[in-house]
Amino acid sequence: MADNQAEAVASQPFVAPPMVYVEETPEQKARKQMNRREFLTYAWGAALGVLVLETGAAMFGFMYPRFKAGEFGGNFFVPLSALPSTDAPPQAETAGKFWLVNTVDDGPKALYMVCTHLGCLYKWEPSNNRFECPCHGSKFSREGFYIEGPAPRSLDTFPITEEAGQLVINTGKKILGEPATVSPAVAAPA
Amino acid sequence: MAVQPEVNEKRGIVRTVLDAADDIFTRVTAGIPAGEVRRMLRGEAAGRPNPRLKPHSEAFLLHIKPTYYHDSVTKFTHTFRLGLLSTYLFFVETITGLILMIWYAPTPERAYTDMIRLLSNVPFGMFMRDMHRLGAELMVAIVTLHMVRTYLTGSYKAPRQFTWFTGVILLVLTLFLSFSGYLLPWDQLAYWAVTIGTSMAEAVPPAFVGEAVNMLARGAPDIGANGLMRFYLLHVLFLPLALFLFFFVHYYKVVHFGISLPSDEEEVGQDTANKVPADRRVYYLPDVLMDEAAFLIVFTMVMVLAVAFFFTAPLESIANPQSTPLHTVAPWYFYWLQGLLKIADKAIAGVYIPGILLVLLMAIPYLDRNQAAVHGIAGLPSSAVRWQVWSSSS
Repeated sequence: MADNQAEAVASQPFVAPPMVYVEETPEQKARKQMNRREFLTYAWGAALGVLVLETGAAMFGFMYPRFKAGEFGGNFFVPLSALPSTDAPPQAETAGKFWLVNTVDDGPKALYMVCTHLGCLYKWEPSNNRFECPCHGSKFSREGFYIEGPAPRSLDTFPITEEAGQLVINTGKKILGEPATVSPAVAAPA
Repeated sequence: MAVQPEVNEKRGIVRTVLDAADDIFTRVTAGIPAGEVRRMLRGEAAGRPNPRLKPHSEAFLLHIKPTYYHDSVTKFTHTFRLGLLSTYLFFVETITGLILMIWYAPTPERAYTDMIRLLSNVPFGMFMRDMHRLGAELMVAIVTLHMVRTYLTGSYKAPRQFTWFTGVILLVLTLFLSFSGYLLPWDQLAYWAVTIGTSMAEAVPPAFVGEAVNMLARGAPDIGANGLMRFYLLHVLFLPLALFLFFFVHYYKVVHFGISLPSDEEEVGQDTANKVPADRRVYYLPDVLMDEAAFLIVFTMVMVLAVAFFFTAPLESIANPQSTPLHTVAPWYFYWLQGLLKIADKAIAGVYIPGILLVLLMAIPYLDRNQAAVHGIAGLPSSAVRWQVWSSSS
């Protein structure tokens, strides 16, 4: 019986129903709008998203390094009388992670001990009268200016102020070096 | 089939005890009675209905394994078993890593002396460390070769694009796992290689993001106790968990879409795993399992011999944050990156080029418009290595 009916339906030619404009019922109209349940779901979903962001921010705060006073990041004091002369080799201050050097043009400078390329510690090479980095071969002048190598900029420095006969070096504020392209010490292209 | 404690008068006590024992055995094997195990060991065909399929539905550990493979897949030269090997090496790393943790504390005061004690004063300490190190280097190599094989055989093509995508994620996680372990011995090489690695992260633009990433990784402006702890946690917890998760996503896709067959046996777009002709089925129990076990046993033996006679994990002098050694060498799988860093700006060489390469690698199956089968090179074994011409027919 059922098979016969199905065959009968299939054998009839397909006739497209005439196109008629049908006014939407109020139920259909209402379905296109957001109802209360839907709105509330979006609302608490958004609240959940905000909560995730807040948790992310909290985790960032939790994981970010903390600094103690008196360690690297604080102030370091050097008496003016202990300042090296302008032709002396740079003095290493390992606790403050800077090289103290006196220059003719810019006065005393505190050069951050870390290479501006990839964070290695460059070395003072007395025979070449310059700083040289053992990792990737960046070279800097005694005054901290970029000479050659892959470093993007001259050495970073810490601000120095003078207070009551002492130099105050603030290792919490790093001043980025000028880009290598404008370095006064840059090596002539080979 | 519940255990019947009371003795059945007609069968006698011996028969009853044996039946009870077989019942317990069948429970332990999740469906295979002792007699069937003997038939498996003797290489006899399974009875009908096949009791060897039961563990695949009953046992949790086997439910992810397919009950049978296409026999073409089981040929060594079709996959070189590189995926299995990658998984196995992760297993080896987990086991040896857990054992090494017993004698290791991630603090600058203890890490290096713990290494010395492990090497000089702990029975099999050096063996465990060398195994862990060799396994790590092999894992990087094998995972990479696995990817190369998948590329050359065109196995990433539809419908397996997402399998490839998760595979690239697994490669990245493998590299990060290997790199994060680099710092833990706290020797000069470790310290300065990781200093350079994290400085690369500093080049991520914009500047404050790079700075923050670097600070979060190191836990300070330079690597110290905080950085060591963070790398330790990444290495032993976070990254293995991430790899574990993506492994199962990857493996689910592998099982779902099957392992691809050579082009003369399967059209691109086909889903062979789910319709293997009855005469080409190789059942996991016992054939594939025995094959894989034998292969891994030989592989492990080779690893043990290599560690015993040839391979020693290097250890330099204790890390000195005040002195950068003359030659800080990246691990061999990062030589390309180290070379790039010497010739280009660190943002370009350390962030943009690796980033673009990675995105391209992930996007290969979605960019490849050649849905045709791969093309073999004359002279090579038709199924072993195939060269595919990218978009040659599109």
